[in-house]
Amino acid sequence: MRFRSLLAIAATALLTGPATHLLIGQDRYNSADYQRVTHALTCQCGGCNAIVGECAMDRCPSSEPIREEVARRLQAGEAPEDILSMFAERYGLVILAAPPASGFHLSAWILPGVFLLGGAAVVFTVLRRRRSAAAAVPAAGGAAVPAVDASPEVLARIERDVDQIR
Amino acid sequence: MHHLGNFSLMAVVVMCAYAVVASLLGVRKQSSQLVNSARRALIAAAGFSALSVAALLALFLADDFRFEYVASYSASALPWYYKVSALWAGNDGSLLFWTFLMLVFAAACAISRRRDELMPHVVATLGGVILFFAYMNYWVCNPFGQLAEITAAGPIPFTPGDGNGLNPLLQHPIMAIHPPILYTGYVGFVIPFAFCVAALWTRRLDAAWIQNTRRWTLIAWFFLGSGILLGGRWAYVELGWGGYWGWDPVENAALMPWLTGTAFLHSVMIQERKGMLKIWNAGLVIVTYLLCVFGTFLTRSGIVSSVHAFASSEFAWRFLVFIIFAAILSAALLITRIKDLRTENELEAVVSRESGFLFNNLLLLAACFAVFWGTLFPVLSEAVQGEQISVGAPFFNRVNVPLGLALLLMTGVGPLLAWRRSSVDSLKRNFTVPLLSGVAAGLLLVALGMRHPYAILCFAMSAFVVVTIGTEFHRGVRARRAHRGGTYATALVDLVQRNTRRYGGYIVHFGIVLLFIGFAGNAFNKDVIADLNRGESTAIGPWKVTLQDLPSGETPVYNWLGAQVLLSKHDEPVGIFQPRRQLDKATGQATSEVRRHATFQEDIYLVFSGVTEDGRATVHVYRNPLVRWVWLGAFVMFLGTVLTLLPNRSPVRRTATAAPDGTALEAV
Repeated sequence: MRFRSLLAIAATALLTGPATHLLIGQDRYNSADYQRVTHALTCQCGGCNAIVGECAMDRCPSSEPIREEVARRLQAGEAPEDILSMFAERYGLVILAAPPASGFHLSAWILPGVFLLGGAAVVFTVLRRRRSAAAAVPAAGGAAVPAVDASPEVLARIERDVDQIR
Repeated sequence: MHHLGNFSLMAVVVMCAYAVVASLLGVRKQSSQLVNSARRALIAAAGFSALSVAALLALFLADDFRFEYVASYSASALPWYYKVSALWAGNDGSLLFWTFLMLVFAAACAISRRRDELMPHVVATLGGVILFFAYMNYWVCNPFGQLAEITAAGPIPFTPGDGNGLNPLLQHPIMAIHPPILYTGYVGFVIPFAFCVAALWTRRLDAAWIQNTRRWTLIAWFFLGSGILLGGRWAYVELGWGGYWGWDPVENAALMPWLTGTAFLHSVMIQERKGMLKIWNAGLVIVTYLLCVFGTFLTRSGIVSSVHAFASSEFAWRFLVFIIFAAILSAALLITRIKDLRTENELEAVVSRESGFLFNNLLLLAACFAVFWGTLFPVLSEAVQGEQISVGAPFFNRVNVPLGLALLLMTGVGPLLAWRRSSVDSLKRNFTVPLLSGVAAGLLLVALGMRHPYAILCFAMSAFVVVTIGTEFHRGVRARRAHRGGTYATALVDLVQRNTRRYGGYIVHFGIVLLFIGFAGNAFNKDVIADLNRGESTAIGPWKVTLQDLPSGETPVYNWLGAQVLLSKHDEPVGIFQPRRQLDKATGQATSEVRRHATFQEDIYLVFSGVTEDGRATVHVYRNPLVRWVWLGAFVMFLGTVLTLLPNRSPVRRTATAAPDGTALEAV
């Protein structure tokens, strides 16, 4: 009985040792949720500003325990968002790798879009105004631009030829 | 030696001050002698600056630890080449080197463009800018300061037995060339800036200043881009976090002027061809240079937290004053010259090459603004809310990836649009094949199981752009062969030689496509961390990493411990690798020496993170697809830029415009 128990323990250890190791490798540290959470947090060691999931410092006093805790909490079934909120509460917003999209911090997300849309509006306005100005030149200046006396077919051919040598 | 260094620094200050005063007096009194002496003073300042750099180098090579800067960044056991690169390891020395490089550009410009009528004002501007940097170097962060021990009897000179050593992360061959290349890019933009200020100052606002500074701008842009990519390469092979771009504030600082510089290199073509966008181009040059100075302010002021930064509060306010002063002066010049900057032509159609350039500029500027905003937002948030926040990769990726993809699309769209106006027929003719290629590539990837939307878009757009570029080359070759005959190859060479700027530009675009293919690979990165005993393995996809041994050793500079692993794919051995942990003896800092198995398909990136308490080796294995395409893209961009810098074999066309002095300008 004693021998069989020992054998069972030894066999279990032998077989599950590497499997547990792989389990640690695959599940504990490498699940999509683990990657997501550790890539949404920044190292708090005080200098590197690295993403926790990428911090390469050996036994980092900040990233290492955070990674361990994230893995532990995920294994305990906590939702990624709850884990992030818990860390934000503990360390402040500084631990989040991106500002929250609420309150004053919403402006961080919105302003680049406002810049792009505002710029696009300016470009369109300039294009329209300049086009109208260009169109108005012949009218104002009489025969400032001589009319081309050519059929649409000839114009198309010229355009094609110009394209060829362009 | 330090007396020579200090004297030379003072001489740089005096020469630059003289250059400003003499050139302005020379213009006022119409004295060519004074103007020439100002120009020569700038050249002499470059000589003195070289002497001060040589003096500091000599102190490093002689292990003269009486000097604080040498003792802080060097150690006697350091190889000579890292003693040389220690010159720019800290704030004071890097600023000295920065000033020297700026003076090399200024002297080269003063010699090569001595007959340029803008030269007196260019010299005054260059002298003024460099004077500020030389002042900072002499009075605020002088690298020739000696160590002293404070005793009751007062300070007495102190010489430590050895130096603190160079940060081990900087002990890498790339770090010996990355900072000089990056600095060359930063400082090089001072030349177009000086010409722009001079043109505004003198109201000589035709395209001459732009044509005369095109190569300078391109060289600065090329060095800045190369410096950024080399920095990425260094981060990848040295820092051990598996990536090459972390959106660190110092990386962002270099990216911003590169983006605006890229915008300028495109929009300048509209001014050269059509006399339009003069205000815009002048504004872009000014903003680009101010962003270069702002970049060095960010790096050195300590206002943002960065792993690269040299924090120095003494530096911050002076630099800020300089930037504000330069911005106000430039803006005032621009505003007072607006009437002289009127456009000579009007846009004729929304769908045209000109509007394509405008949208390309808008996207580049929006990307620059997003980077600027994200970099400074933590400072703003702390000032407004009193709360520290972080803005890192998740923010920058989310905001900039769509902008980057839109820019990639414009890389293909732009060349297909005709100048002045694109008719529906020509749009159909030009777009059909590239567009179908892009759509086909996208659909094929979806059919093969790819589901990442940005990656699919990126590959589809890459196909679109590559076909566009190929079509442009093919059309050109066909036209040349129709005109002059010959084989396809000779016609291709002839075509490129006749318009190096255009076809070099297309090759740069091709390099950009390769870069984006590499970037898209990031979407599929995977990694695994495992604590392994000898003989144990961990797997990532078809790859298996088996720990064989834990060798260790010592060099004069560091102790090391390695994890010897066997890498195999589908159980077929690929090779034995030995990622290491190194402990620098001088600084006590531990670093990772990563090992990679790199192919065009993917990199297997191996990091040995250390040994656990129970003696197992912690190995971090990254599977990074397509990273090699980034380095290939960088190389292709390098080739393309070199090509655009070469003169055409014969002029493409002659413009009918004349310079203010009556001489005809030749557009090449």
